[in-house]
Amino acid sequence: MDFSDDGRKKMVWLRAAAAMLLAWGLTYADHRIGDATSKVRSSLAAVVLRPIRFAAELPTTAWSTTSGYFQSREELIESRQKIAEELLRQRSRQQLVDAVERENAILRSLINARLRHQPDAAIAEILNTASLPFLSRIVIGKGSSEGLAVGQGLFTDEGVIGQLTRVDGDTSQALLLTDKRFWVATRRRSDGLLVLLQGDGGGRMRLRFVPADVSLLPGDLLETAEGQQAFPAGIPVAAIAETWQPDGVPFQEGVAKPVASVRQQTAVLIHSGGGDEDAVPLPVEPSGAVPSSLKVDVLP
Amino acid sequence: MMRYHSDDARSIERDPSLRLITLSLATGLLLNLLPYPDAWFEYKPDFVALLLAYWALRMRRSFPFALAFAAGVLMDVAYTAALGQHAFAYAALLVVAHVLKGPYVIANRAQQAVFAGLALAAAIAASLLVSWAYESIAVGAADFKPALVGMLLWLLLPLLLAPRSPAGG
Repeated sequence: MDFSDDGRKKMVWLRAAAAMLLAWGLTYADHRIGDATSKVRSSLAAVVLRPIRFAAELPTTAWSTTSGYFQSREELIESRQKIAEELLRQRSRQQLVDAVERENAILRSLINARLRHQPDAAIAEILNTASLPFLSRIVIGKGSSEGLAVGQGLFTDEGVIGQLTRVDGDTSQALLLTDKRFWVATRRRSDGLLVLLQGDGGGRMRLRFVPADVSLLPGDLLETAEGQQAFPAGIPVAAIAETWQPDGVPFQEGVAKPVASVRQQTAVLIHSGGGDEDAVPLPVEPSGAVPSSLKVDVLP
Repeated sequence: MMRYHSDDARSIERDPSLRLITLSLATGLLLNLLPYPDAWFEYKPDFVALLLAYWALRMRRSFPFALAFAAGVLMDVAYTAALGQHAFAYAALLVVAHVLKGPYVIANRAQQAVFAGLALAAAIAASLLVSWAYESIAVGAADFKPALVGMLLWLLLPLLLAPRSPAGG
């Protein structure tokens, strides 16, 4: 080992001793007079350490930003699902409210019709319908336990609906006025002209036994005539759609469109009278004869 | 450890530039400041100290104390430790490294790991000495866990090392 190495080693020791003494002195000064070193600290932190600290925090910042993004996205998806479910519930509730409102309106109209035509008429709910698309029968939610009887007429605020043909304990079946077995005596509202109508089985009613010299115009409103057991007088039945005169026949032909539609109804009024077997509409006779139950002189 | 002659080493390789050393220490500082899980702090070695040990081992000349002192002061500021605490610790590390290196070459990786572990332990001891002196903080063997982890890191990261081959017998 030569002198230069020895001298270098001495220098190393000297430097080491100086560094350690300086460092110890610095710690002593920092401990005793911290205010003086705080400026050094803040300066070093701001100038030298800031970029290093920024770089060190980059992974954390990037991670939190990325995870925050995905977290927000998941939260948004979850929130969207909740909103969609809530919307579905609200729509369901809205449909229920709409249905209740419609039913309420129907019931109000029925009450008005009852007050107008027959205060003691009963109200029955329509349970189901049959023979779509041309409805020929409906089932209502009242029967013999409620005092109903075969032959009672059904009507709404708009007009005649049909007639009871079968009555069970809690339900009843009614034939609609468009069924071929349904007959009803009507009068023209404007002048009281009597017109006999029969269901045509296709959604409309046929004029029956109307003399050729009687003038019926499209739009003429026909309502129930007096003297029928099944219906009170004055309830709209149908409006004349068209008439024509076949050759060599003493009666004119024509069709009328019922004014009441059962499709929009959830309940009907039941005429308090007419509850007897004789009033049951009979199957149409092959000859086209008027049923015996129609106890009204329909022809002038 | 083998007998080592400094003139032979001079002909083998040159010392790294001050810029490279400074950059590496800045990287060590960056590694120290990374947000580790809390559970890791008990075991995390001081990367600046580890790099100092590395350079002290690798360099033919002694490591510049002024640079170690500056790195220590920055560590103090970053860790809000007593100003001069890490500077004192790093100076102690370099002293131990200087003593260990001496006239011997530390050739294989295991010897290097022991060297690094002892250097890190010296730094920890010096740092604890300051804490004990001014703040009466209790010192225990558990405080030296990072030195052991530093040794393991040294073994596991051989690419960081450039083992010095003995130039002669």
